[in-house]
Amino acid sequence: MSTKQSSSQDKAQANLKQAKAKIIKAKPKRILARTKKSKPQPLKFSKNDLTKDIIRNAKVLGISDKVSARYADNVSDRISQWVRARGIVTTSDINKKVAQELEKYNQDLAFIYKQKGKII
Amino acid sequence: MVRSDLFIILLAGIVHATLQLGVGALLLLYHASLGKHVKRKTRELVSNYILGNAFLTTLAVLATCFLISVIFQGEMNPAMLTIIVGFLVALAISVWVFYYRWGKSTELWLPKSVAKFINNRAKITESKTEAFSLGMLACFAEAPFTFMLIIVVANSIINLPLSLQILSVALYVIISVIPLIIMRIAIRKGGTVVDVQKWRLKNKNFLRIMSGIGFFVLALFLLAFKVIGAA
Repeated sequence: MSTKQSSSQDKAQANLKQAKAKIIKAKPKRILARTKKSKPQPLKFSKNDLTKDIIRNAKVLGISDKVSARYADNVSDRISQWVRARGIVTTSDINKKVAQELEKYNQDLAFIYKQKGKII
Repeated sequence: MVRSDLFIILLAGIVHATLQLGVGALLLLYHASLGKHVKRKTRELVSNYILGNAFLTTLAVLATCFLISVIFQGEMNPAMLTIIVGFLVALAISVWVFYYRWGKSTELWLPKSVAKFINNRAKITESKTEAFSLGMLACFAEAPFTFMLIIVVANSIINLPLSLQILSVALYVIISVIPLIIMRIAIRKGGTVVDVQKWRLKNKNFLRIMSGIGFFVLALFLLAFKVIGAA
């Protein structure tokens, strides 16, 4: 029993020594060092997500499900063709284009997309 | 002097009410919630948002009253009030110049990261507690502009007789959340978030000018009645 206890104590001491050595080796971080800002990650355009978003925004305005689904299908078709042609677009480009397309159907819904990210 | 203190509290409340961050964050909450939840749940979330906003404002006013009475043993001295007058004039100019970002939108002076954070919090608000804390967050984020107003109000409240102190705290808080209550009523009566945002866009310059004038008039009033008048 005493040999088992002494071996476990030895192990604990060895771990403590290793931990102390790690602390001494680790360089102190500069407190005022600038943190690296994460770059915006590219996202893959999703027609389904856009359709759901348009339907959700139409629901906010009280537009019926059938009508909003029709708007969403037509607009998301056109937007996905446009995105395929452009290759790379920003989110604000997509919002502007969606607003442009939605103006043919509903001015208020188009307004929501024009004002995205511009409320506060 | 009671009349001048009450006028200061009233005016400070009106100036606080013209600030737009609380209204904007409430609009974001409405927009996010109406698309996801039933109307009853949206109403509950909005009520809790308004309560959160009022709660933090009340807490800030009471805490400032306590601090002023402990540090200054009563009302602030004229030298300190002169500094506050200077700050109010600076805030008036700040509101005129950079409260709103340039462009055809109601984007405010907030850093983009803070605006995104509030936006994301509003989108994922599901419970009453989250709505309450969003209200507190919006109130806290407006602190650079409301901090001086709260100090001025607290300084005036200390001067009032005890019977009027609690009423004046309530008066200030109610006036400051009136725009949120009006927005709630407007949407309840059939208005949409688009109508509210169009109104904000249309009256952006008017609100900016009135807010700046409010800060300026409050500064002049303090100077006339509390600094020069007390000397």
